[in-house]
Formats: sequence, C-alpha cells, structure tokens
Amino acid sequence: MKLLDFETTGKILQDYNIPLIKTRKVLSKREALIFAKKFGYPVVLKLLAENVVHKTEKGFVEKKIRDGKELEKSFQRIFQKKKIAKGSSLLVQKKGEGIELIIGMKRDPVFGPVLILGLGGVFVELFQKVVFGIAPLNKKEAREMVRATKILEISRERKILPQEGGSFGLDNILVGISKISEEHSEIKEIDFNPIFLNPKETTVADAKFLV
Amino acid sequence: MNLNNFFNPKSIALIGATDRKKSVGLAISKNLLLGENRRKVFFVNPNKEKVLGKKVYSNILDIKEKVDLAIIAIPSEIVLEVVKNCAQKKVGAVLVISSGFAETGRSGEENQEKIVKILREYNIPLMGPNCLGILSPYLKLNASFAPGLPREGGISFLSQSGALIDSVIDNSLTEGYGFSNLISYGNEADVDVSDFLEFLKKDDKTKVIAIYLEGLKDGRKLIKISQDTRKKKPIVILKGGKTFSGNRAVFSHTGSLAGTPQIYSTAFKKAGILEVETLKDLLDVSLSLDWQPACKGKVGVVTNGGAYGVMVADWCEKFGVRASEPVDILGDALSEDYKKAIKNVLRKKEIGGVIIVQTFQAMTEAKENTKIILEASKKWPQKPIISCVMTGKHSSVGIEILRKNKIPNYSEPRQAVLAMKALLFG
Repeated sequence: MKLLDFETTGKILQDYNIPLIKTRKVLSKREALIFAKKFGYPVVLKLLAENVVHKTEKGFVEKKIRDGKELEKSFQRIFQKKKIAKGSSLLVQKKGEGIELIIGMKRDPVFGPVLILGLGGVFVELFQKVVFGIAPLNKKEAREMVRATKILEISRERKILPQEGGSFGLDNILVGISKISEEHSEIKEIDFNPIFLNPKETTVADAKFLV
Repeated sequence: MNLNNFFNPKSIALIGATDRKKSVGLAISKNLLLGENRRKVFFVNPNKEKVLGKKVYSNILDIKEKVDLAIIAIPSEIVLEVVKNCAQKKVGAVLVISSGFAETGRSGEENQEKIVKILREYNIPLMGPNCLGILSPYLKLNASFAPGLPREGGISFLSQSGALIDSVIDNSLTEGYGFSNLISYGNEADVDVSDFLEFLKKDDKTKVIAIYLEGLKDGRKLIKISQDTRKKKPIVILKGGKTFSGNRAVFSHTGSLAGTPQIYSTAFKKAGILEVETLKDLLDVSLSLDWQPACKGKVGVVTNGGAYGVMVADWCEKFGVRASEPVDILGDALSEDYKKAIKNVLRKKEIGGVIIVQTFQAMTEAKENTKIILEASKKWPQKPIISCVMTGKHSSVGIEILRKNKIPNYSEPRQAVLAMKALLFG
C-alpha cells in the first residue's frame, strides 16, 4: 500500500468537509517563515514523503516551533538527519491544541469498512482503547460512537470539554470517513491521527489515505 | 433463494441409507421414517436392497417420482458423483451431511467448490456440507442424526455447531421449551446463515431466532438482513471464538488496532441483534422471548424476600433495566397479599411487566400463589411476567405449572432480569 499524495488528500478532505488544521506545503525556509508569520506560532514541521508512514518515529517531525529562530534551526536539523532527496517537500502546520484523538477506517474481510474512534497521538497503540463503527454510518450512529468514547466522557467530567458539547464535530468526520470508504474503493485504510479537539474547534492534524 | 424444500419437503431421498449399527446413515434413516406419513421417503444405497424393511434404490435416478430434498450422508470422496446425479434428477434442494470438505483444508475446499458449482448451474440450493441437518417439530421433520425430535415451540435455533443442537434438544426435553426449527448450517458452501434468517422472518411458527455463530463470511449481508428481520421478531446471538488473530501486515495505526471480537459486537448492535455471553443466557433469553410478550414500560418487582428485591434491583441497574422500587410483601405473605401487590403493580400504566419472586416460608402458599400468577397473566396478557423462584423440593410443583402455562421461571435473579431486558429490547 502506498500513501496518497498531499494534494489529493487535501482535495478529498475538502470534498467531504473534513477540517484540516492550517497546513501548507513549503519548498523553502522562506515559505515556511511566511506561513508562520501569517498564521502565527507555534508551528510544526513535517516531512512529506510517500514511504514514510510514522513520521515521529523516524524523526521527521519537528514539534513546537515557537519562533523564527527555532524554525530556522529545525530546517537545518531535518536536512541533516536523513538523506532526503532534493526537492523533497515539507509541510508547515499550525500546532494543534487539545485532546488528541484518532479516527480511522480499515476494510474488514467480513464486515467491510470498519471505523474507529479513540485516544490518539503516539499513545494509540499503547492503550488500544477504541470504539468501533461499521459503515455505512449515519449521524445517529456516529453520535453514539462519540458518546461511548471514554476519553471524551472523562474530559466532560473533568470540565476539560463543555458538558453540552454535542459531538464536537467528530460525528461529521465519522460520517465523512464512512462516505469516503463507500465512494472510494481504491482507499484501503484511513488514519486521521492526531485529531485535535479543544473547546474552540476540532481539526485533523495528520491525514493518511492508504491506497 | 427458495428454501422451502429444506423446511417442508414433500419427498426426501436419503443417499447413504443403511442399517449398519451406530452409523450416521442409520440414524438419519430412522429419523426420516418418523415423518413417513407426512411425506415420501426414499432410501438410496447401491450396496443395500432393504433398510429397516424398506426398499432401497441403487441410484437416485432410479426414483420415478419428484424429489424435493436429497440428503447425502456418504464419505466425502464420493459425494461429487452423487451430487451430479442429484443435479440430473433436478431435485429441489440438496443437504450434505458428510464432513471432509472445506473444514479440513485446501483439497477439501476444492472438492466443496466443485459441488457448489454444479448445483449452482442447476439452480439447486445446497445446505452444508458438514452439518447435522434440519429439524422441524411442527412438520415432524427430522432430517438429521439428532437423537430425537424436540417438542414444538416458537424458537428457531440456527447453529454453526451440530453437536450443540443435540445438547440443546436434550436440555429442552427437561426444561420444557420447544422449537419451530433447528438448523445446523455447517460449512455454508452455498446457503448461509443470513439466507436462513431471511426465511425464518416469514415463518409463522417462529417467534424468536437464536443463533450460535463462530465464523462469518458476509457480515454486511447479515447486518442488512437482520435489521430487516428483527422488525418482525427478536434475534439473539452467542458468538463463539473470541480470540483475536492479528497477523496482518500493518501500515497504519488503524490497521493494527482493529480487533475482531469487538467488531462482531459492534456489528450485532448495528444489526439490532441481542448478544449474550453464555449458552445459558442464550437459552434462558430465547425461552422468555418465545413465551412472553414484549415489555413496553418500566419493570415492576413483587417479592416476599427483601434480599431478592435487592439482588433484582442490582441487576436491573447493571443491565440498564428501568425498574420501579421492589414491592416487599414480607416473608409471611399469603396468596391474597401476592394478589393485591401484583394487581397494584400491573394496573399502573407506566408498568410494562413484572418479576415475581417467591421464597418459601412455612406459611407460603405455593399452590395458591401459582394460581394467582396464572390469573394475573390472563388478566394482563400484554404485560410479561417472569417468575423468580429457586428450584427445590417444594417449589417444583408450582414451577412446573407455571412452565406449562408459558411463564418462565429462573432461580437466579440475574437471569430473571436478563430475560426482562431481552423483552424490553424491541
């Protein structure tokens, strides 16, 4: 399987109304600085390459860049660390804030597209606590998935998230990914990880479509 | 897919009929003859002239009459040949009891596929292979090597395990419940569990469908058909084989996470199927769903033992069953006290059903109480009644009478509440 490219990924997210955190593909340090100036720090730098799936594990993510100086240093670090082909592209992205969640899809041989929702970020494999759904998923079923997610329940209890938060837009993402799975048979697996959820907004920071 | 020839064949041919002691063929031969006054039964076996006093044909093609259902119970190596004959004969349906197919490995699977191919060409539905068979008590049909035909009732039991069916039949004979159909569906080479489910939706005698399932080929089909079927009648399922086999090449976090057992539970929920965790639960719940109407409100509790009230309340909370405060009529309650309490509970609009607990003190009027309960069930036929009495020497007479009148009894409060939960599940 290979990773769908940045542009196509972006288009699909747009088509299905899935909110991506402010991201720009940049070819130079200058472009990155312009982005950061426009959208504000902190930002994150990620390396875009088709065969690099787990970015953090291979040191391809530079997190929490707080200003121009750190941005310059990060650039240097990334190009030093790996033998990166010339013209390889980087993504600069606004740093997400809030609870990190994962939403994904895989094609089960028995049930077809199966969706998951759960605790995300790098801890996802550690805790393995997810809620499942089976496509086609309607809004009601999506909301039930959100209700059943422990981390959200606890966050509400601890007042990290508002009590009457509805589904924080997660239901839209779930329904969207369900539709994608039904309408794009070429997409074999989907990983939205992390999704940042805070009282203001819910956005996808990293979207992977595997074809 | 027309499955009528499995459930109500007017003529059956058994290939593999024999009087060899302790054989599968002999068992099926005997079982088929039990329904001989209802349908034509033909025996086929090139090595026999007579079995159990009946003439035996050498080949199914020698039978002049129409054959609705051909049952094949011979070694797997020769099944293909016989299937070709059945196809030529244009039988209505084929049921292959024989094992030694896909469940044994690659070559068995190939053999199985050949059989499916032929029958599909002729548009003949195939059940099995590797199954116990099918039983329909109302029609005195026992097309299997089960030890006997259970009593009639509203439960249709679909099982991936034939042996389990046999145990359940035996249990039903002592516990008093009955069946409309018992189907051991085997390898699902052609007709699968969903096809049977679809058929049972329209079967008037079936009030509840119980399923024992291990593996599934087409989960989406099961979800779709179940969502449709459960609108008419409840479906209860026990899934066997909950270990997670996760040897897939992993490309993403999602791929590594998705675990099979949890997906099945999610699917059952989506399908509107009630999932249970034990065999006992499957049978206890199915019995109540057959005998009692759906519960459409809060659950009332009447008890002459405070501890039982507590336990029932505990389980109601655990299972999410909305119940009203248990009515404790105290240990020395007589039948008149039961009568009053039950009436006060059941007459309330918001009450949808009642669990009635009895413990036996010196003055407890077992017989009278039983009468009161029967009267209540007649007076409020749309509200389910579940009895909770511990089986014992003095309680057995009452329990037996309740049972004969289709009022379920459970010794264990958990089971009583679980049954009520199922009745609420609509």
